[in-house]
Amino acid sequence: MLDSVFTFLFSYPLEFFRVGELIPQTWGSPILVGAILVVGLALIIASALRSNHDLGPIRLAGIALLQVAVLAVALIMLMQPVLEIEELRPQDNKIVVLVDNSRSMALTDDGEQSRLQAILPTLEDDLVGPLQERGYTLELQSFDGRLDSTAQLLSLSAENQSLITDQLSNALRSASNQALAGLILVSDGADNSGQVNELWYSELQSYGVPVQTLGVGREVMTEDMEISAVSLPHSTIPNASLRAEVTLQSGIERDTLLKVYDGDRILASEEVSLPGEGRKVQHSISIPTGDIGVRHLRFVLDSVEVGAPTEYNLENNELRHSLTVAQSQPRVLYIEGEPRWEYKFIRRAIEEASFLHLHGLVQTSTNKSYRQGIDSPDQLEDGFPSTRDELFNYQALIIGSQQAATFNGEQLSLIKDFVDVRGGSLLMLGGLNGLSEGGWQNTPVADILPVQLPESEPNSFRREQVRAQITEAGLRTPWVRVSAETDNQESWDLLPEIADYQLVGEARPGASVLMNVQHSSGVSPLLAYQRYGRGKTYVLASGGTWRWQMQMHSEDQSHETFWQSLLQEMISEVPQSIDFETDNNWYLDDSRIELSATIRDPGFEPSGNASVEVQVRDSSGGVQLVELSPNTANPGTYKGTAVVEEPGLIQLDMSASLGETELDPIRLFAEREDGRLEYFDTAQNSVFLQRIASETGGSYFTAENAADILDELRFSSSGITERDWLALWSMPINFLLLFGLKLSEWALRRRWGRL
Amino acid sequence: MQSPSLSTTPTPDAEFSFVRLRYDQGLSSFGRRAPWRTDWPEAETHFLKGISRLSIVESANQARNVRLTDEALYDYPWLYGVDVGKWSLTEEEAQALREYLLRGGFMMVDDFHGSYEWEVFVSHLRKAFPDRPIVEIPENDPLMSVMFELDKSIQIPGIRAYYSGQTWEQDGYTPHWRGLYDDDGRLMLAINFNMDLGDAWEHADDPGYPEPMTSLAYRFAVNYVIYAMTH
Repeated sequence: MLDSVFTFLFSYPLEFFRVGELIPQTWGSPILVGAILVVGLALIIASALRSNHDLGPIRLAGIALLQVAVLAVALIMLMQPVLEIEELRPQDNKIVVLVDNSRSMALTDDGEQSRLQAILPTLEDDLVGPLQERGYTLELQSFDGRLDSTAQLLSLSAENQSLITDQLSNALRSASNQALAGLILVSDGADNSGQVNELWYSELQSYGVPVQTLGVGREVMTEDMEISAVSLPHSTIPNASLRAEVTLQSGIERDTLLKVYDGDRILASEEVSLPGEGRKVQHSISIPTGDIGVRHLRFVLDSVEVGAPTEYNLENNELRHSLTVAQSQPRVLYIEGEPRWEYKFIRRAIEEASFLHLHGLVQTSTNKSYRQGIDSPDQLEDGFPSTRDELFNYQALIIGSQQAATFNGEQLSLIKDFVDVRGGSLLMLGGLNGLSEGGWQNTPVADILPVQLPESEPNSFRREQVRAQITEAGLRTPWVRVSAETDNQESWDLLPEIADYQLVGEARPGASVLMNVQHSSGVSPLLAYQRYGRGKTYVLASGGTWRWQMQMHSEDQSHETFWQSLLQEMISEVPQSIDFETDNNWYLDDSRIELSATIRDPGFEPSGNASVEVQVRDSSGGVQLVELSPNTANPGTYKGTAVVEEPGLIQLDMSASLGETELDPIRLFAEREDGRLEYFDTAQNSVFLQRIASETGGSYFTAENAADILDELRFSSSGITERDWLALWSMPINFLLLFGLKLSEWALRRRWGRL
Repeated sequence: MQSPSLSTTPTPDAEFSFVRLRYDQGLSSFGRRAPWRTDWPEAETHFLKGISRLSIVESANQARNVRLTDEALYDYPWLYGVDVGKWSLTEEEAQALREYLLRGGFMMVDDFHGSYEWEVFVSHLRKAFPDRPIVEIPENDPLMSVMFELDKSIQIPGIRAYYSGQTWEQDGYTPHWRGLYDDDGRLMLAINFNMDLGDAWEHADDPGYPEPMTSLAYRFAVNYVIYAMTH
């Protein structure tokens, strides 16, 4: 409506004034126009002085002003201004309409029509038809190639991968030697090429062709929910509990059930609340790893709400992950400076889970220690390991109520290196001889702990029963838990008091305090954690969590859960001397597998002269051997790429040797699948389409304003154009102004009785 | 002799406390001194000193006593029952004993002899564990070597039997080191049958009682404590 009014008043659409250049004068010279102006003004002044002197100065000025305005409009019309525009010559220009017919365009937004079907009438009525009528040379393309008509689009199979980057670049490149006035991209903006970057945008700009984008599909998939990602290692240890971080989203706020299957066998199930509006949330779910082998994990979302809206896209409710459960039992060394109940009950809690091997070394008398869980009679015979290789053979170390003075300087440095260099985990417990009472504050080990140890805190160890208070950070930390199901404040409130606690200093910057104790003189950290170097350190300032076991029913698993979860966290992510991994696990529409290996010696020094190769076996039995090359920028690491075209399970066997020595091989599994990626992130990516348009000088449109693309194309900066000069003196607005001004003067004079 | 305190058992003030089980006696021993108090208080006094001398276990100076129905029971994972051939457990006490041991508590029973007392002991223990077998502690059990290498063949006698020239009482001629194990093979109830370690501790300062017997009793005691704190 407004556009029509504007066009009526100014003779031409607003778009003309936006793209055109105003030339103010095409008749007469500036001197002539100036002379007319002077004469006109003189006449106005003379007339005012001669016949209107009884109006008074203000009214006289008003009349004069209106007359000056009339003079100005008349002068502008006399100068005959024009609008210079450059317009495409349709018959000489080509327009490419590139229609995305990838799989995501076969999705339905309304449960009836595919996206492609839904946009077809707009394409025909608002674009193709009018463009042809205007005489443009029109080239209609799909991701499969050139089309003769839009009707052909419906006969195309939507089997393509969404590679907008490649398709758009190809279309622009192939038309670069023609008079291409513009390209219209009809798409939902889904791109799975992984090639969208600044370099690609620069390439688009270099063609100098404006790309008009027509967005298809809804921007929020209201009824849809999706598993966007699963964070899980490629391999793990048997008979443990593994936590998977699952990223979920939903168009509307809803409750749903997250299930994890190994094939058809359900492993875990938890109810999850999704916030809606497409906001992504992370949910942590615990999975039993089971026996040695491969777990073909399927993460599945099931709606539990009655009356929940029907989902049209169920393909994105499932995500898969191949988890290798390898023969491995991480080793943990627990040393105690005195017999303690805490030691006994930690051992019992861990023994119930067989996922790690706990070696115990308890000093029982001044000259004797008791060794438990050792592999051979001579192991730990001389007490705490004194060599780097022996200590680094463990993944985690627990130091209980033990005086620091029982270690020599070399051993204390080894403990620090165990965390810093080897990447192991260290847990220090409170006790009669622990932490500050044991003199640890004066050792290098104190530097790596997550809390400061008071220099002189007399009797910092206190046998007072206190309640362990979980902090907000603790509640958010998945491995700080006392129940197998989701923990909450209530689970912790139900716990009995612990038998004792020890005062420690403040947490270091970067450390997390996960539990506190409230005592007579304030609050003190009870459980704190931080990363240090390549490893992790923990302080549990108590030797009395055993009371959780003795005070609760024998069937209760709170104490066991707490310790199993903490120990599993400690051994997780601890690097092996030989590591092997892939960049992904479930390769959707992606044939490139990036391989990387890390080789270190038993002292965890990088080995840059190893021979590393990976045998890649695809689902059809095809085998390829990929030699990994040393990465000189990061000594000890080796990289390579395998290309697997065959969908299905992929077995990757890494073998390595150092000189004559064959190193332990590592086997991983991955999976390759085509056609699924299109079903994820299915909402229209309007941001991407807008960026393409703005980077190339085009605009973004939707089905509602698709017809405006024609106006946008008319003044395209690309292609063959013709120049035109549009007269502005005859615009109706000019005559209306003249008439209005004179009418105003007449009305004022009539009111003042001076006609 | 001062009677053991009947007041509420205080919370622990050391890592290890000697805790004596208080129980009601059966009809057969009616009228005698409560059997649960046998050897009190010298047995625990000497026991605690022996533990401190032979190990670095931090021990409480004062011994405690609890009933199986006391809440405080679960603050003390080590329990000593004496003269249990005369004990009598209610259903509630039996279930508490079962729960205590299954949670991880450790108990040693001592100073009962002969087939009659065995039957009394077992009949009440069966209220807690009807089916769990009572077995001879094998030679290779960690209990036998956790601190000292122990000899199971020696019968540690009560002082009266010793003064009468024998090591046995009633028809309990053969010493038995028996036990009740949990499902994971951990000893939770150590049964010193046909023996009297309590007397050996109690009379450690009696020149008439043989020192080797006291030494062996101390060593068993240390092993029981270390075992309880490590298994």
